[in-house]
Amino acid sequence: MKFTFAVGGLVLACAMAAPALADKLEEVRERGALICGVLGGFEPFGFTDPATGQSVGYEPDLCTAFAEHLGVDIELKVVTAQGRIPELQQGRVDIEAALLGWAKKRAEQVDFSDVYATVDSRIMVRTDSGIVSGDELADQKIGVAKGSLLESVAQETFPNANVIGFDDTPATYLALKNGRIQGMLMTETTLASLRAQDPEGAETFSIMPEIYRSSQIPFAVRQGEAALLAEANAFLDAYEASGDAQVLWDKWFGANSMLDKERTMLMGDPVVPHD
Amino acid sequence: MIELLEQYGRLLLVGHYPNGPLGGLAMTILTSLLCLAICFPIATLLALARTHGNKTLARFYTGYIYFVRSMPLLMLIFWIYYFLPYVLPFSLSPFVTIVLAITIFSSAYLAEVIRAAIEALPKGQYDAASALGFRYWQTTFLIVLPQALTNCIPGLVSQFILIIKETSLGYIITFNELTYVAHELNKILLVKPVEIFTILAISYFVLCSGLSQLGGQLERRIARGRLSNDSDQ
Amino acid sequence: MTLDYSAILEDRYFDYLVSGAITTFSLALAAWVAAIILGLLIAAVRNIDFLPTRWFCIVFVDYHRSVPLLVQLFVWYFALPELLPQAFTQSINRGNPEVFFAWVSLTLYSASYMSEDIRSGLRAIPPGQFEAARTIGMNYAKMMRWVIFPQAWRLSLPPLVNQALILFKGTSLASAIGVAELSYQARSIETQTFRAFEAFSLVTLIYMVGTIMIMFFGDRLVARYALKRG
Repeated sequence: MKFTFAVGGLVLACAMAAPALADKLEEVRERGALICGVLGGFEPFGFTDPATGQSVGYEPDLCTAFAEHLGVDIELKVVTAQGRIPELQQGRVDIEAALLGWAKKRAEQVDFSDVYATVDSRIMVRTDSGIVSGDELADQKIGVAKGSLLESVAQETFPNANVIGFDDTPATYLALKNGRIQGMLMTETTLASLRAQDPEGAETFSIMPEIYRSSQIPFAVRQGEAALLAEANAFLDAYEASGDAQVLWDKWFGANSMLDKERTMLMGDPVVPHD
Repeated sequence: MIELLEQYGRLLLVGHYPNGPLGGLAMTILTSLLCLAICFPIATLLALARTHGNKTLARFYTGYIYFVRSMPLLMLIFWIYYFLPYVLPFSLSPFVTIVLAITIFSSAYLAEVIRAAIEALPKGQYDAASALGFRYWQTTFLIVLPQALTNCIPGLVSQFILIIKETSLGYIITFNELTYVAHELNKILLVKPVEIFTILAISYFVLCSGLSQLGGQLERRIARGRLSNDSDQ
Repeated sequence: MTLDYSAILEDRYFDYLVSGAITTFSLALAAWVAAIILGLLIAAVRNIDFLPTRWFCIVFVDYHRSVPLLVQLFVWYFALPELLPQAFTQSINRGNPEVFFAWVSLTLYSASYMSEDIRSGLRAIPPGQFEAARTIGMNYAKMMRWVIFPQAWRLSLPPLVNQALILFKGTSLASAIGVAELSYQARSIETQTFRAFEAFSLVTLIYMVGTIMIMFFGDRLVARYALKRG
């Protein structure tokens, strides 16, 4: 009986509690530091530098630039893919640049800024499996990162496949390498980095041509933080105008990186809503 | 594997300290010690609540034990980390979450150990105390607890081992302990999972197995002490 | 925050919960049964007066009791396939390696604790009974079958029931290697509906129902069969 009461009490307490409504931007200015949530293990978006243990990548750099724009220090906090929305809602981070692609359901939970990157998601397989098209995996096992939108994308695209969510990218990669799964669905930049990082990667893995989702990546803030969001949008426009956006792209994705990808968007492009 | 240890052994031992936050094995041990230090007095009070004789207190004790036994630690961690902040005016760091969750858990298990030790004391001890005119608190603090808690020391060591193992769940909420650091290292190196997870398992094995040897020795020593006391009488 | 359980009880998510519950319960049961058998075996081999096997048992039990279950799961799922024969790994991979290795880890973990419980159950039997069995001309097997075992299992019953509880709760860690059990499904539902509170409260409730059932029937079993030690 006691548990029923305990659970009931918790339910009631949580239902009644409303999140504290202080203005984040003011809080950040007072604190003198911006706490920005970034991912670990998603090279080149956000990952840990082995030498220093610091978060580095496209998104940490972008956060740092945004903090400079605000005139405050930057504090990077690593969040898990699964934890991205709760961490924001509970105010553990002020803002997130954590590969949180725009999606209608997510937009009901957090507020999104304009776009700072776009990225396509593809499937990677072991070359020795002889698979040449992602669609061949329709009834196979496909690994995804738990908490990523791609989990439902995989389930909807391949209703007969066995979709397995792992805690992070390297876990999914290991599962593919060990033959536990036949393919992994992930953003193509992450796949390319994994493949490049592993000395045996290039010969072992192939990335399939099909694109299963194109994501627009904006900053995310807690709902109702209009002032912080406006600053983020103003920052993106200024960052593009100054040419810094191109420099940042070249560093992580473009000419100066191993990916050598063309940029197909501008920072500050508005989100084009879709499902 | 030797090469890996030479290069990253320090990371696994202390995290990025002193250039960054403490982590790794040192964090695991310190957190576990802290949890043990907090849960020991709580467990003692809980055990007293059970043995006091007051029905309400005893019911509270039973409810608490059942609650803890019925809940997977993983779920408790999720509740504290993701949902407790909705009812609190502030959010909890991964460190506080882990300490809180493990303290709630271990207090219950340790309370059972202490309760058993209290109940195992010969009734004559209570008779002697009341013959001396001792009240409840005098009896408890001067007679019962000193003996019962001494007999609990091996149990305390086992609880410490359990706590060390439980801190590994911190990895799920990015708490900087040994398992998480090993995972981070795996993310960085990507191609050395066998070496990293083997080192991780061996670290826990050496630490916990060593502690349990120590616990065994303490147990034998306490048992010997009890025997020689008995023969003195 | 408003609560809406209907959103996560629509067909699709309800199916998630049901399949998660089935996985959790069957994984725990399969591991419990296997662990009892293995635990008995270890306890028996441990008592044989042959140094190598005895040491093997000691280290085996010590390893599985000293290393966190979560780490054991990682070792089995991520590290060991590179050391096991390839043909074996391939045949496992064709099936469901997540569930298989979760089962293996849980079984070994639990069997190590159980073997110690069983040994202490055996130790609780007065030495006079062994002598008596010998005196009336029973051989080792007969003595074990008719004298020792009927008492030992009843002496070991309370800790074995406790292990069932620990196992049931321990299955929640298997989500770390991608086993679609209850806590995994809670996270899946959360990702897809953002109804985190609803998903987690329902799953917690299912866990509690499971553990309370184990405690209830365990207590009945113990009350009916267990022998008091001493």
